[in-house]
Amino acid sequence: MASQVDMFDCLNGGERQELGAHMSYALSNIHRALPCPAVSVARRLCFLSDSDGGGVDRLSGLPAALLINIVSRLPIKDAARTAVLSRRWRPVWRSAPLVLCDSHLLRPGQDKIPGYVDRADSDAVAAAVSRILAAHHGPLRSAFLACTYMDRDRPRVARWLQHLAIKGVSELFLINRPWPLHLDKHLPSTFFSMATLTRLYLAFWRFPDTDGLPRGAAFPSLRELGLCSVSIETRDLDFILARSPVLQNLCLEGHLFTKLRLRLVSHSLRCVQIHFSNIESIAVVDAPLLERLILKDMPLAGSCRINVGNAPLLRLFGYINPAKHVLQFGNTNVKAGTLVNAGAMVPAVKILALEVCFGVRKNVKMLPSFLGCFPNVERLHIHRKRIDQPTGRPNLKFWQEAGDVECVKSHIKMLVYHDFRGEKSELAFLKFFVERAQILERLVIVCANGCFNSMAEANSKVKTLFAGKKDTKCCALQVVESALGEGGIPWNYQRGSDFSHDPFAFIVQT
Amino acid sequence: MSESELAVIKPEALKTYIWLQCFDGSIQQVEEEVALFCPWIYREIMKNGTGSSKNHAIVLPERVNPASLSLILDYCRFHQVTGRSNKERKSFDEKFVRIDTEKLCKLASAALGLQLRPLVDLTCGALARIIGGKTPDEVRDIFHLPDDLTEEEKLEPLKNINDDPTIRLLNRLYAKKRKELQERQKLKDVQTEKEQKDERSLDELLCFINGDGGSRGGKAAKNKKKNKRRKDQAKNPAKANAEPANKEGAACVVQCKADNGNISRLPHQSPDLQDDIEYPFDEADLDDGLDPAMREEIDREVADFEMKLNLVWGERMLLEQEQRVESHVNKAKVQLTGAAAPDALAYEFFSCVQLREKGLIYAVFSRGTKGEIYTVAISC
Repeated sequence: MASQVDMFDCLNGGERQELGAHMSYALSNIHRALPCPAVSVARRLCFLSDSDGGGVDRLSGLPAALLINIVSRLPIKDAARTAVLSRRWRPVWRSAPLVLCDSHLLRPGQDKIPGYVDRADSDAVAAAVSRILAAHHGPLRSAFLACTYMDRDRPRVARWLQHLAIKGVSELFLINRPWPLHLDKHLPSTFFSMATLTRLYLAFWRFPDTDGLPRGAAFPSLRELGLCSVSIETRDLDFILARSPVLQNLCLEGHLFTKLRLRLVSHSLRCVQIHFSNIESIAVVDAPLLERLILKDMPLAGSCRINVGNAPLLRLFGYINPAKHVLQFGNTNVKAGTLVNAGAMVPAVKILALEVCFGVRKNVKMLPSFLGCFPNVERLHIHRKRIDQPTGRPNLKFWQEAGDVECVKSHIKMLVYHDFRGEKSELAFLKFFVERAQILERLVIVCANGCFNSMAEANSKVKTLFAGKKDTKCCALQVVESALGEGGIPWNYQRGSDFSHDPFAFIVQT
Repeated sequence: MSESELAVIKPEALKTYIWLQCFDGSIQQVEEEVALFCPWIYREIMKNGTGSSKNHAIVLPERVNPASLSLILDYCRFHQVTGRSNKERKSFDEKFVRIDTEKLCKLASAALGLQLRPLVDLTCGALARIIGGKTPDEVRDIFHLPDDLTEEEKLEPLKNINDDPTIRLLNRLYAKKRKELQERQKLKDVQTEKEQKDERSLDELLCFINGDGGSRGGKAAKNKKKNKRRKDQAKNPAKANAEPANKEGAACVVQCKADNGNISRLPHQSPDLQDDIEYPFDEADLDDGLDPAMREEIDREVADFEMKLNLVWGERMLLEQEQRVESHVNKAKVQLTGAAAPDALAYEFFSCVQLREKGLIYAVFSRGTKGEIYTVAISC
């Protein structure tokens, strides 16, 4: 438990700097990835006045329910100002469920969370938040607090949480910012008394200790949980999953502080997103409703074991990286050359995303085995990953000699290849693919930014793939250039949990 | 795709229509699937079976006027088609609310009447976006709102965020109570002062004669009192030492802290003194010029509230320990729970309290770093 504190103290300057860099990267990621608050200061609508004039007050005549609805959609300052509009409006503010967004309290109010906040501004905003929580007696719909250095005054944060618990808040975003950062102190366990909480996002905290909690402590209405750079133990996370009967979305981001072994046991969980985190192992033990498992960017060295157990509805899985992830079924790891048997397959996956270093022999060899575990994939995304120094010459004949892969042969309809550079190893793989894929309908090749001098050059390289293809059924080919730098796919949680779209199909064209 | 499905079930010729009648008598017909998109109409059809012919048209609620109805039907017609993307729907909605404010208000009202929740939210959102960012004057201009608040009422939120009358009353109660305590204190001080003066002069003389410093005069006096005057034994020593501190305390500011710490650590201490901690409030609040009737009411309120407070203290749930709580505040709290005296209204910092069984009594008394009070009390 004390390891976190020691972690900071016993780091030397260089390591501390590296961790600091990771954390500021995590912070900017988090700000970008969070869902937006429902209320905005920027979206204004120009009013149109009726040409007849008449000057009749239609607005005050509306039923109270509508007035409350209107006021609850206003940013907090404007909502407070409605109290002086007229006699009819005076009581409305106090009973309207408000959205408290502390970025609106900055001068000038803004929607986006600022990257940097002055100490003075932070204190002013925190004081304003305290006053508002004390003065507004009505319910609070959601609280979006991300602009203050909360560790400067922990008792104040504890008071806020108690206010929020009493007001029956349903969405809470408590986003701390370093520095100071006291990850040795637990957050108060007031969250467990927020029975109406449906969405909770925490960043840069230490999760409350679940050891001493009473038996009834639970999250009965929690549907979405985001833990961003939160220091949390495995058993705490198990506790949360066990006590959240309707949890659908789980996001873990920037988990850098403790070793975590994720065990997914939940009868309601639908989508799990893990970004930029250092997770020791992920075991999908029993998740009958799990549809999406998204892993992205493991910053630190080391590998992560992924064990897929009971997940009959798992449709979307990615980004698996043979270099960093070890797929495991039962007790056996999937290795290069393993013949995959029926027990070690995940038949439900339809959309798969892989990150492969084509320059590394070992990784390339793993690819057929990995693909063999997912026999029914219809859409495949392959991201080419760069390596610093190539390890030996890639074996180009490997693909010519490779056996058939079930999904490639009979299921894949679309392949999207990201970060194409025209290297031999890549071309060898693509040739294998194009020749073996019998029902391929679309092939999209996204060229790395600035790699080719012209699209014609890229096109010509790609065309060579089709030279040997003797077959009649043609597939649509699309070659585009990516506008993004290497590995720079901005992510947000809503894209991951939007079940109507494929989150991997994100191509920014120049 | 949905169209072709419909075609299988319902050939074009047999498309059914629903008849709707507005409160002004006008009747119109509309395609069934469009009308069914409105929950209210759907329920009417299911419940009463009306709407299938011109004579048995569904009578719409009064707040749905014909203009709003046609807008609503346009909305339903667009959104009931399933194949549309979110982007298309959003851009339709954007254009849809670009109507003048009067129509918008009527539309919101009509949508509420027909229980069409998405449209209610859309119109209220649009009205909110019009109101947002504007000063109250501008808003009154746009919507022709009557300016019927007095200047004083308008200013209140700016001056005192706790503009709830209950809050103001309670604040006054406390201030009043404090004042009383203070006065009682002063009386005692005056008494002790008198006695002290007498004694001191004697003691001083004695000390001087004996060669002790002035500071020890008090203690010597104490000893002497113990030996000689049994009656005032309990009170005097405490008062002797407390008196200088009290004088400062009466002046009331945060600096009292250190002295108060001394007070609470004294072994002999009357209950009155314990609560004389600090009065970091604006003295101006006390001059409320209340008439006797109000005073009675206030006294009643105070008694009421303190009763609740005692209940609350008894059933207090687990709260987070303050990390910055000074030692004397803790001691005062302990004394409060034990004392349950009418003067036990010392506003120390205790956080939100929640009584689940008896509804919510939630009293937050806090003392900010500048000595402000956020006093919010709600009882139900």
